Amino acid sequence: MQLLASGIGFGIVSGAVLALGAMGFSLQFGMTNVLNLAYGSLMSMGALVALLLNENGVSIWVAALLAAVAVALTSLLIGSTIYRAFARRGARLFTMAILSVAVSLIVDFGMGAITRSNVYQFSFPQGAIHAFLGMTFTTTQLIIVASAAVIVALLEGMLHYTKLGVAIRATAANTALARASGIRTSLVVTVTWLTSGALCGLGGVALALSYLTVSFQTGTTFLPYILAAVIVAGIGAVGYAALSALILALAIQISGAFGAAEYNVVIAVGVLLVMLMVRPQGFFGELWEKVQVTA
Amino acid sequence: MSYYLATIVIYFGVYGLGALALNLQIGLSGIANFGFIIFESAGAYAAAITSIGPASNGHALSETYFWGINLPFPLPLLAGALAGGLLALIMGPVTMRKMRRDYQAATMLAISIIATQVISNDIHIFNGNAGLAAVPSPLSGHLNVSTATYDWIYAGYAMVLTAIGYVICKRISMSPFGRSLRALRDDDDAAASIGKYAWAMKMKVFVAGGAIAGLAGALLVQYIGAWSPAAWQYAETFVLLQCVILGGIANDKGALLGAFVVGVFLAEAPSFLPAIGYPGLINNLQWILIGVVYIIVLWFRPQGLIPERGSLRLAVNPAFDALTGGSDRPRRLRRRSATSRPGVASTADATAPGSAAVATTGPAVGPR
Repeated sequence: MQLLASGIGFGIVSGAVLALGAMGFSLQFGMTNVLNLAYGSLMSMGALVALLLNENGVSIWVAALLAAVAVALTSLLIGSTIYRAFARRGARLFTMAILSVAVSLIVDFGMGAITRSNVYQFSFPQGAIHAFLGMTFTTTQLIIVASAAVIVALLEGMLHYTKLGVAIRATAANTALARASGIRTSLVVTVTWLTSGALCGLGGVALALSYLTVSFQTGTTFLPYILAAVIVAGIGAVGYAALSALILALAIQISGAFGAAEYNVVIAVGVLLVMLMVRPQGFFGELWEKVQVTA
Repeated sequence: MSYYLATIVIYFGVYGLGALALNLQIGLSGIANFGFIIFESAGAYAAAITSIGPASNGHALSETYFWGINLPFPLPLLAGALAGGLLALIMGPVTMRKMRRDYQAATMLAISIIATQVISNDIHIFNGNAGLAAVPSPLSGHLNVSTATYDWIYAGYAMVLTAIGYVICKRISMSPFGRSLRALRDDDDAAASIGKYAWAMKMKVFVAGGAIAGLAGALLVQYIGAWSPAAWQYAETFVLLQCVILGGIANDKGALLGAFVVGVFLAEAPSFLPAIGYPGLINNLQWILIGVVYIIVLWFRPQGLIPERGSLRLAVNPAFDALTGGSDRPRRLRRRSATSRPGVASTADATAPGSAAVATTGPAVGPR
């Protein structure tokens, strides 16, 4: 019982971290249809920027916001230069995936060159320990969980109840039609790159705060979990991506609590494979049939 | 100098075999194997444990691995090929199913990253992160020659294996089976309509490619004598993919040319350069260079240095289609619609210069 409770506790925390990353990935993937394998690299970037600022005396929460801004701008830069240029040339889905790997290599090893491939420790006070139904959380973990919950609510509210959200969903579903209806699709795409970049940066900081170590490849090694969560939910199902992230993290952490800790990571790939076998379009995705790249 | 040359020849063989096998999968058949390096790794580990001997057998280094045996010369190599093929046979049933090609790529990449984590974390399988060391070279006790001579003999052996691999891949590619594979790659629905069973054909190529990859891994590990997770990080796959794309996708000669240019000059030669900066800087810069070369090649010459031959679609760019056509498209979107017509295909944002390019790649992948 104690094991189960602690597994659930860890699962909630890592679910919140995974949800932050998965929502950004899902939003951007649904919008542009680019399977952006460089997403993990940008998560590492967020973590490293936050670490750098924090070590220079900036409060970690301010550093997290600044890291989110930095990653959002980088994400927009990559999206509106390289991806857009290739999309306008008529590059299709698989070429875009190769391209995103190239971007990932450049960003990853560029950070590696700057950080000398070091693995950094976050020397950051975790705050008091709170016990709750047999689960224990540190203050930092509670803040991560709470901010993930707030962001899910805000993002879902934005996507479904504001004009911008409707414009985003319309552009994702059919760019040509949205454009014909008077939506400024290029602006919508810009907003998407910024939003997903900000979520990616926050996800990276949260990842570093929960691992407490960070290197230039932290984000990329985390990518399989994001892919699993996003593909299970379906392309562009942003809120459901957060839900499947939570469920996936709970499955991983609970099985880890009951032993087989070296192998619990396999669950992510197992879930991904089973999903692709039985329902490749995901449970809630509506954009599976989309073939165009919008960038 | 002689040592460097021999080593470079051996690396050319390893990259050449890897690129040939990856080209068989990705170029000829359109299998988006972004986890290719795990097949090489399976071959390397299999060759290592079948030549290193049992773990408890007074081994000089304290390594733990689940099983070991000391087999005579050609058997470890064959064990490597067998392991690569078996791994493909296990993974194929799920990953060779019909799905978006970028999903297939993402799945294989995820498997590759997770596999590295598992083998690193569990010390009992292949000695975890430290890996296996002191793998004996084949016949090193029987051939009474100096190290330099041995290196050249090994280089010749690598070249013979590469030549055999080339002939096999060329034969597959030129056979009726190879023609069916190209048809499948370019349009799997059309191939299915004339009775080609996509899954079975892809499985055959996947297993054949896995076996050649295993052979390449075995060849490498028996020369360098050590294998650890650091040697098969997910990124290594993209060196081989770059060999294929730069050399010319779906072209076996191109794969070998790519292996020479990318494998030898970009990936291996820099380690012979005098060190600059801190240790590891060159390694990081190398990877950045590989990323940059990808973007340059995909932009300026996506068909590669030696383009695919024999395609009937000379008006379009066959290699680019190999990357981007066919099964990118989910099954149901087959009807003619405004958004999938060539010329307006990519996006509503496409402006005049872009749509011209779209139109040239259109006919082969456009709606029927």
